[in-house]
Amino acid sequence: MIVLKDICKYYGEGSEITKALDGVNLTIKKSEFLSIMGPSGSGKSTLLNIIGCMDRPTSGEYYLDGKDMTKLNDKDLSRIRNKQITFVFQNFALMEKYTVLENIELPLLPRNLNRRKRKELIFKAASQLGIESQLKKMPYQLSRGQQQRVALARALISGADIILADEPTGALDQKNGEELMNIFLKLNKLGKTIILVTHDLNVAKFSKRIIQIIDGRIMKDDKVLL
Amino acid sequence: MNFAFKSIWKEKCRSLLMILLISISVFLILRVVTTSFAFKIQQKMIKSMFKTNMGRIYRLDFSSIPPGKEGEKINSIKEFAMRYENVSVSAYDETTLYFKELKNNKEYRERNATILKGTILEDYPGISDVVMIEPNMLNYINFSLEENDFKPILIDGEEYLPLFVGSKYSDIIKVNTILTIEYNNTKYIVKGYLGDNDIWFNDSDPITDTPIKLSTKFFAPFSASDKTDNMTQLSTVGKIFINLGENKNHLKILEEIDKFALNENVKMRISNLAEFMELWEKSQKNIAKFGYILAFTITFCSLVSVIASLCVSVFLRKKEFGIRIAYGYSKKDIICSVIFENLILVGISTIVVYMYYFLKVQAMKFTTVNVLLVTLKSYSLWIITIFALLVLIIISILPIKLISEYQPVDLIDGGE
Repeated sequence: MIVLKDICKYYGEGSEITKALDGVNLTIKKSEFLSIMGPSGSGKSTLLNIIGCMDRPTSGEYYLDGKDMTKLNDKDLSRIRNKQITFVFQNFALMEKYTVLENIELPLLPRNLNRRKRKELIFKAASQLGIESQLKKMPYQLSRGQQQRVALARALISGADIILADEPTGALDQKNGEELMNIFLKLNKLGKTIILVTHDLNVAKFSKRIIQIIDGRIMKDDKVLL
Repeated sequence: MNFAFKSIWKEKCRSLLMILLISISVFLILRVVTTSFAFKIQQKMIKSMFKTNMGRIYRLDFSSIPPGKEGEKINSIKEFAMRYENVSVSAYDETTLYFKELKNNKEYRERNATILKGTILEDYPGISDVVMIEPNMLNYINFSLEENDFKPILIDGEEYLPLFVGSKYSDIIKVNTILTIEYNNTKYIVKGYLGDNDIWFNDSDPITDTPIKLSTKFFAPFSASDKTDNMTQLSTVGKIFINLGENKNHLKILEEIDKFALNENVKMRISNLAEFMELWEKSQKNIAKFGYILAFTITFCSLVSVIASLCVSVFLRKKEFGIRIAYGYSKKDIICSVIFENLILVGISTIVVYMYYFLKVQAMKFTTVNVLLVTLKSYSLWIITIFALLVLIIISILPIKLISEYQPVDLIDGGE
């Protein structure tokens, strides 16, 4: 369970302060499928980064499964990012100079698994997404849909229960976008908690709960009626 | 660690460029350090060859001797000097000659063919390289033999001078072998062998040149005929030492020797060994200083290029670092990875340059002690290791500072 209490994130000093988040209170239960919507600059990506332990709040409390994340050091946060949380980024965020295999392998490297075990897991993740034949290729050799699958394989290989997706369909056409959202639905049915940032209502409708954030504050928190 | 190797491999051109730049610095520093420390080792070696204070020993150099009377004049000056109490005069010379018994000896020629290969004597396998001395020299020179070891030996009424053979010939020239010099028929008898570590003054200059190894040479006293032979005596010029012992009025003695020489129409220069060595050291230090300045200037320029290249690389890899952090690396892991990458680059450069220089020096044909090799194995190894660590620290500071200033969220595209 994710609990955010009075989370604030400010940038700058004195009169130059920018309030990216201004007193956000949010509880996300296990296996929830949640979308965060809002205009550009509303703070949705900042909120996602704080939940994903990529950024620290200026003030407030953040609990993940009862643990106070604001008190953890960099090393502990990195362990949580490796095992409990995973990301799917808008522009896939693939490492261009590395092969598909090396990109998918990334979350496994900090775990000191042997090479054989890593290859096994990589092949399994790639097969689940239908990209097992692309493992030796470079990202630029793949279509956008394939690149997003690689990004998804990388996200899923860690076995993390919380998936954070920042505009995952932003760079995809409608067909691929829908395919991706259906995959998220399947993962959610398997018990994964999915938190999505999007400005597209059609994408947000795949989720069960939509949060509207404007100027760093949650304005609406609605359940999606099916 | 895995990622460090992969990063270097993925950026082959950049990595090669940095290895090249670091290698240039390492090479220049290694060369200047090795040369200057080799000189120090050489000087230490020469100083350790003297049993007595070098300040009490003088060297005779002749600038003008009546032609055709060189042997006679030099001997007369030596004899004059030896009249003073506790004063000894002695000389040495390295020469090449033929021993009748060895010149056409198949075993000897085969052995010499290997030993002399790559030298100016390689076409003369029958030749012998002989260091001749006046044995009283050994009273003030540290050596494995003494003056008494060179007393002539009488066998069946015939006198033989003792000769010692270099260790490289010990299996083919036995003790008690008689060797006769071809050009003057002087007979020598092999009395023993020289050790692998036996060294002697260089024939070119005893103070400024590296001592020679005796393992491939013969060591013998001058014969009676050598003492009056003009060519032999001329060959000892610059290699005649006067040891004044504990005489307090040494300047007066030297003045009188000089006066005597002038009366014999001989112009000579008497130089104190300790003073000469000091002057030589000073001049070498100045040359070394210039070498150091040049090496450090070029090192500075190449390290600036390396640092610039690494900083650009960090900037271009921001996204990669951000992705790695997102999937479980900490900033500390990234920094360690970058340091490790730099360590590989510096390590490869240092090892390759050191091995190249080491093999190059090892392959050089030296009849002298290879002080460069001795230095490379000792001082240079330590200094270049420390230098490499310093280079690693210097080139890593700025990139690490850049990485530590980045926020993980800044590293990936997709901010507000």
